[in-house]
Amino acid sequence: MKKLVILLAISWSMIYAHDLWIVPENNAYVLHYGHITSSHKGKKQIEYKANDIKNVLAFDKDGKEVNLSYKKAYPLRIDSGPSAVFVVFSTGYWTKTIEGEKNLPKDSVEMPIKSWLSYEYVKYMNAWDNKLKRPLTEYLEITPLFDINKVKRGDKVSFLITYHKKPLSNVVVAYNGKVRGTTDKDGKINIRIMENGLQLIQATYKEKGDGKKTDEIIHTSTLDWELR
Amino acid sequence: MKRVCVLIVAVILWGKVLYAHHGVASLGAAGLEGPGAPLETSSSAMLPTGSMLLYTKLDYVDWQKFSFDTFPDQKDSYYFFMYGLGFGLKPYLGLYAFLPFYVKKEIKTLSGDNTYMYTNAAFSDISLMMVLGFKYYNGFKLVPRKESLDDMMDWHFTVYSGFSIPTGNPDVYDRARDTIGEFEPDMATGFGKPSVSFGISATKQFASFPILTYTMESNYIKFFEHTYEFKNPDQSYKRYKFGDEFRVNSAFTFRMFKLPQKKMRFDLSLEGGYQQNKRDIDDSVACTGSGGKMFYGTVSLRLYYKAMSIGVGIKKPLWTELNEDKEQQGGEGKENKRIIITVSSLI
Repeated sequence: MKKLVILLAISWSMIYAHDLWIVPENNAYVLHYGHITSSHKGKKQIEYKANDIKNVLAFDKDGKEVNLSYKKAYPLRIDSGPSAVFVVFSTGYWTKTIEGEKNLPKDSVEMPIKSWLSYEYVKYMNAWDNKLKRPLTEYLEITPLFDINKVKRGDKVSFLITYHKKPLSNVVVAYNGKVRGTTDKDGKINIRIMENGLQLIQATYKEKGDGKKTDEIIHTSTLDWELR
Repeated sequence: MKRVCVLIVAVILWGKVLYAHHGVASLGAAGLEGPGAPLETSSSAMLPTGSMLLYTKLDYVDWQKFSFDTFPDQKDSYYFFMYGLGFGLKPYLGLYAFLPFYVKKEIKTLSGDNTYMYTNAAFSDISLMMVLGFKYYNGFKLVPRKESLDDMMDWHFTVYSGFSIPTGNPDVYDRARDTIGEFEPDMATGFGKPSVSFGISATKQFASFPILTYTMESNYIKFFEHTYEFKNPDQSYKRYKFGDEFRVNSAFTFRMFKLPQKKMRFDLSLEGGYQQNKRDIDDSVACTGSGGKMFYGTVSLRLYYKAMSIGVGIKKPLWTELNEDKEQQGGEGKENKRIIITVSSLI
């Protein structure tokens, strides 16, 4: 129960975080930012800055990185050819002050209370091959350990959470905005797929910051795919 | 309601819980999102490794009363308090210890219409229990160290076994009417000999309807004959054995609401419990006026707040087939009601 209480406390903070997701639209993958899973009363979609897009990676069905041309713009549109795409997104440093939150590092504001550097990642998968059953990037990443094309509503399936391609334990994982638990010692967690349509698996991992610019670095990763 | 509140305070302040003569502690702790835990039926939830459960229970029994012409002596009420301590040794292995305290009240007739209340209150027999937890998902397996909320919705099971240590005093006799004392083993707070119990439980939180949890439990308690310090007229020592007990309980628990920001959850449980008691044996002779079959219904509410849980319920016999129905005042199946209160906290 104690663990679940902690988990629920974390889940409360996840509910109020922003979501990052990709949907296929007109032969392209389109990146969205805002609130798709939460009951947050804020805008459903937020127009993000093109500069917040830090990196875009694409992979074929063998898990090999492929070249990709894209233009940093709002909204980000990526050619829908690759089997998987991975976007790195960051709104940069944030510091809480007595005057509110500022989009600045800790050492650039007066009387900082708390600061964090936010990194968000989203992986969209369109096809499946067993070779995609492994982490593709060095970032915080969610890997399905099952064939995304064969999974059915009601199935319980496993996910692997990695950072620098190594399994991460005790990472909080949510499904469609609802926390389902934390990863085990092998970085794995089982989740039951309950809805059709766009699937969003989210994981959050916090690292200690340098103390100068930020107190902590928050990594939030999302795995997207369409359950037909 | 006032009485219930007083009882809740009593349990919290005194911290005493009941392992009933003829009662089994409900084991289990549940999370705010996970499967519900009924009041009487033991859930299959295991204690997290290294965590400790503090548990208290009160089972208040209000016995049906009849004409004093028929029953000159009548059981009035029992208060079964119990302290419990649980420890999660492994994700699939839990150990529990229970210390019961009983208060038993009987109205007895002196002469004519004069009656007096005979009360016996003392600690009863300490009991120890071991619980092994396993689950079914792609085959049977021991409960793993970590489970997601979706893993918790798989079928979970426990097998448990325990025994009591006769630390209570079985040789307490009422001497108000007879200086030698009156032999009433059911008014004692100790059994004199260890008892052993075996049980199984199964729990399923429905994935498609997660506010509902089904729990089933069955157990058997075996009592052994004890030779009392009480002498029969032929100067032999009285030997007595309580009848073994068999139970099958079943429960549906509904999560009525949850307030995650306040770490609070509120459940309603509806339980049905079949119980079969064998006859007691007095000096090798099966006793009349003992044993039988009965079915209890229990309605209870449970509030979870942070790492604490408080449950309150009322239990009544809905059907009975006692061996000698008209002779069994003060025996199981002849309750007006039982009020059960539990308070537990995970450390």
